[in-house]
Amino acid sequence: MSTEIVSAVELRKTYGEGDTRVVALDGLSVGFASGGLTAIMGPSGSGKSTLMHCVAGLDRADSGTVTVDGVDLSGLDDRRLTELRRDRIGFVFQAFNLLPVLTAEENIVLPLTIAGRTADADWLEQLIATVGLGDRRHHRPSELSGGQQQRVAVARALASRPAVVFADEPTGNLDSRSSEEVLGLLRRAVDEFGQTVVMVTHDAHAASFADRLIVLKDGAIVHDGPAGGSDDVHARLQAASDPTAH
Amino acid sequence: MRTLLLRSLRARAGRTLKTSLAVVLGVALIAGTLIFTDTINRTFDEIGETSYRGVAVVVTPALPPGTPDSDSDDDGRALPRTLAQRVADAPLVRDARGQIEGTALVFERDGRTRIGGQGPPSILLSTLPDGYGAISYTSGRPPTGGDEVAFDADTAEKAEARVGDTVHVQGEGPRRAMRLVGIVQLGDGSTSFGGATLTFAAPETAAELAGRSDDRYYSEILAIGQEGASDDEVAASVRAAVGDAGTVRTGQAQGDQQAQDIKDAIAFLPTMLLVFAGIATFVGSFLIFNTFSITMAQRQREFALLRALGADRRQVRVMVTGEALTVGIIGAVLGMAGGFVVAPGIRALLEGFGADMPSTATVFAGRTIVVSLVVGLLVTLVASWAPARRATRVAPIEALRDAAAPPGRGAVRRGPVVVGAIAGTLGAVAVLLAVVAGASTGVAGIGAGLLVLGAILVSPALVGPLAASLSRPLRSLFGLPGRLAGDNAARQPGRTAVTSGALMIGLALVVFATVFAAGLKDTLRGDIERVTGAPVVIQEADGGFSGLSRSLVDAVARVPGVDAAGGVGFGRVAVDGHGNAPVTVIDGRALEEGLARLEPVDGSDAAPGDPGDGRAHVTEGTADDLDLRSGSTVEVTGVNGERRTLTVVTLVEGTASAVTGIVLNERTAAELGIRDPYFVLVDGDRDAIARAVATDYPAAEVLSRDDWISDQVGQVDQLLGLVYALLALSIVVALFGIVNTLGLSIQERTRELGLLRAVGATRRQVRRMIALEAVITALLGALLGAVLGFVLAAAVGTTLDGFAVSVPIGQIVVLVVITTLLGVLASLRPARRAANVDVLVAIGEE
Repeated sequence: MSTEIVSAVELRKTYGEGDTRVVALDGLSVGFASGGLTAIMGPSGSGKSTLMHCVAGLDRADSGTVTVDGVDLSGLDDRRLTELRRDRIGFVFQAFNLLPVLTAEENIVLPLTIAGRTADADWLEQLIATVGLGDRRHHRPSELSGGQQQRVAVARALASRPAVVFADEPTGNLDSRSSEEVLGLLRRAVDEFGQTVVMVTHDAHAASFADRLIVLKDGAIVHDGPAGGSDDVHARLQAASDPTAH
Repeated sequence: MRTLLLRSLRARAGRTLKTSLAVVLGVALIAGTLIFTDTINRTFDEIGETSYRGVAVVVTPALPPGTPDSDSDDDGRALPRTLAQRVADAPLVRDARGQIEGTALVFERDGRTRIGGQGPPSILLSTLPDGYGAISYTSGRPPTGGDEVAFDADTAEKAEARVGDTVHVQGEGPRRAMRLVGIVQLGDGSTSFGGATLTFAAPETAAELAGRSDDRYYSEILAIGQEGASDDEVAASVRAAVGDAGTVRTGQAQGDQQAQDIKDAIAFLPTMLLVFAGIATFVGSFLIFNTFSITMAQRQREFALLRALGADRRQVRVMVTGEALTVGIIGAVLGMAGGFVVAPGIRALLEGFGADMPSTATVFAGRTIVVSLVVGLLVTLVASWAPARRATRVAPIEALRDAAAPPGRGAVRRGPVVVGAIAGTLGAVAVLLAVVAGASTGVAGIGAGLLVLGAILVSPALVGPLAASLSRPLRSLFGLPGRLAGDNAARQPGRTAVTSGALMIGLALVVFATVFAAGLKDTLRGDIERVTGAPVVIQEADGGFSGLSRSLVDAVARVPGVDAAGGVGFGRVAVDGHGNAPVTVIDGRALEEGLARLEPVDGSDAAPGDPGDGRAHVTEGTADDLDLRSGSTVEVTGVNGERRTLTVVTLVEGTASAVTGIVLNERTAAELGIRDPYFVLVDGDRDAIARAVATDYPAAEVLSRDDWISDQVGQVDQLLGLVYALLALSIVVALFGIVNTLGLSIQERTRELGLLRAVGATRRQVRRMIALEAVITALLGALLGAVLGFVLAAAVGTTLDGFAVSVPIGQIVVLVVITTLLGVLASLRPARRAANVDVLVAIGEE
């Protein structure tokens, strides 16, 4: 377990009461090793977003423990949790990742600025080069395309060299070319910088960029293994969601 | 559509209520003022009615037409003692009595502390038999002569005196120890006359206290008619009997007249209060405009959907207008209710400034309801008109667009800024004209209005630069929150400008009052210092608001070591063909001895001395108005109706606050009915004088020249305090504006705030960011307001003759700082809400 940068044990979370009671996480345990791109898939309501929110410190499970980079989240108050997010976790959301009043570059270094630190200049240049922003670094988000905006978001997630980057449907709002660019970027982050990335997606093509595929259903893991190509992902999804397959 | 209207009102109940608040405060002050005014007016009507109950006819001194109003009851307007018998002998008259009205100060048990003062009068009345008026004795009996007096119950209580006790009373002479023999209540059972002290004495005693002589004895003569004779018939009979020796009215007419006189005298009060209420309402309209603008923008998709589903523009407009109407009605109704709280508040405020007002049951007239509703509705409708129009302009296609784009940078609309710049420039030119070229105060006023309008319209263009210039210091001081606060404030410049505009108006008025007051104080000090040569000055302890006893001057002059003493008084005369002119009375000896100094216009060294009996010095301005030169004559009528021809001796420099109009010596002034000294100028030792007059004139304050000048100048601060208190309401409304705008902006930026929190901004940082945004808004309003207020005060000041404009920079800085801190206070709730944004909900929100 020592190589696992993020681990969750026996996570349980339910919403609602009585008839409307929904089990989002049903005693789920999972670990993410350092370095590697993991895709989490599953039908709507399978608990994939809840899982991500819980392991990323955005939400708390009813029971179970989450450890990020050796820190047990359940013992942290709001301020400590916020600082952990700021320093150890990177985020890419489906939409609305950037503050409209800041330039692309300012958005990238936002977590560092919030912490009162300045970015290492070489690292920043490398990031900007990697995401291919070049001359648009001083533009505001409204002057960037959706793909560019999302690439800026990825750069921001990487800026503080976090222990783990969580991406929630990062390509959900993008056309296929832009999707390709963003996914390629996440892939390179893993390959070139040794970054750990966990991505929630419902797009099989996106999942095919991953090293590992986890499929969730009714709050439990029904598949956990190598991702393989796009077709393999489709097959595993089919198998996982077909009750007769077990 | 009606269902939709009701639903959306219900869904936004909290917002609707908050928007209504903008109207509530203004309307509450309006309603409160009306309730207060109606209530005191009713009270004065009742007093007027009860004081002449049973009286058929009242005879008052006959005054020629054009006789000026008098401020004193020691003005020589009195009827000869023998006239009472002539009235009593008239046919149809059953009985007639004269009454003396004067001033009698009443002191507390210690014999030193005056009861009341500065506002409500200390009234002396001679007794009348039963059947005249509606006064009754709750204990004791009517005074019958000698040293006997009766008090109203309130005064007796304050004097801690019971029937049989010795009490301290002072008329025109020295203080007297007298015996309290009765306690009086007014006809309606009320024990007080609105803070005034009432002292009753038998006619001979009252005449002594008031210093009356037989030929000027009674203030009025009251007559009761014979059975069966109507008041008008009795009046006709009395009129025939007295001829032109007096004016004859029925008791009813005299009561009405008396009530009307009092009401007229205090009519400025409701007017002043309504002006402040109007300002608060105007400031509130900014808040309404902003709230509607923002919510309409946020609901664009809702309106677009309605339009896409087939609603026409009119329907959308009806819905939006319906919402505005609801806000207006809620505001007006709550405001009316608030009026019942405000009315006693006004009374308490005035009492705090020493002006007690009498009261009976609260009067809630239909007029109050109508005015409140009309104001509430009108203000809301006007303020929401433009936003409502914008709502109807939404294209249906907007509904089909993707999730509303996150609020980006709103552009500054150029048109209004240009108009504002032009208006502001014109205003500045007008003000400058008034200052430099001496154009009228009216031109300055129009210029001032244009300047305010210009400032409001131009301010959106100032938001960006201000935020930019604050950006660097804010960032280095507060890091990212500072930087974001600046950007957020500049994001919707129009919105920020309107929010700060409300504050700007409030602060401009506060600064105006401050600068004006500072100028007034400097002017006053300069004027008084120039005029006053006496090392010691005596005034009534209330700051010289009421006059001193005439006998005080002689008493002081007799103190060993006093070389000279002379009184100074104020009044007015009517000048043939010119209306009233102010009169400054200066004792002739005081002028001769240099206790009071006048400066001749011709620049000669010799200070004008006693003008002499029947002669006058005239200040330059008045001389211009009346076309007078040295040596010319002028026909005047005194407050007592006496006519005199005055010969002008010297033209002297006028000072706006100390020496105005026509300067007379004390003998000429007394012939014209101006007899009370307000200040006594003395050359002598202060302590010795103070000891000498302490017993006989306890209400007189003996001050060194410097202390006296400081006391006089300090009175401006009291007035300023009252103005501050009334303007505070507008500032509160403007602060609500900051709360509201921030709240709406935060709602709009929920996702941004969520994102900030998600990527690691602490709650503290978020709170700080919102607080700084409020600081920028408040600072913009405060700075603009301060500049505007100062410019206007300076402009108005320079148009006034002899007014010294001064720059109280310290006070202005303090006001700006306080306003900015209030901005932080206003941000507390919105900031907390922003910091508590649920990250998950925020980032999940579409």
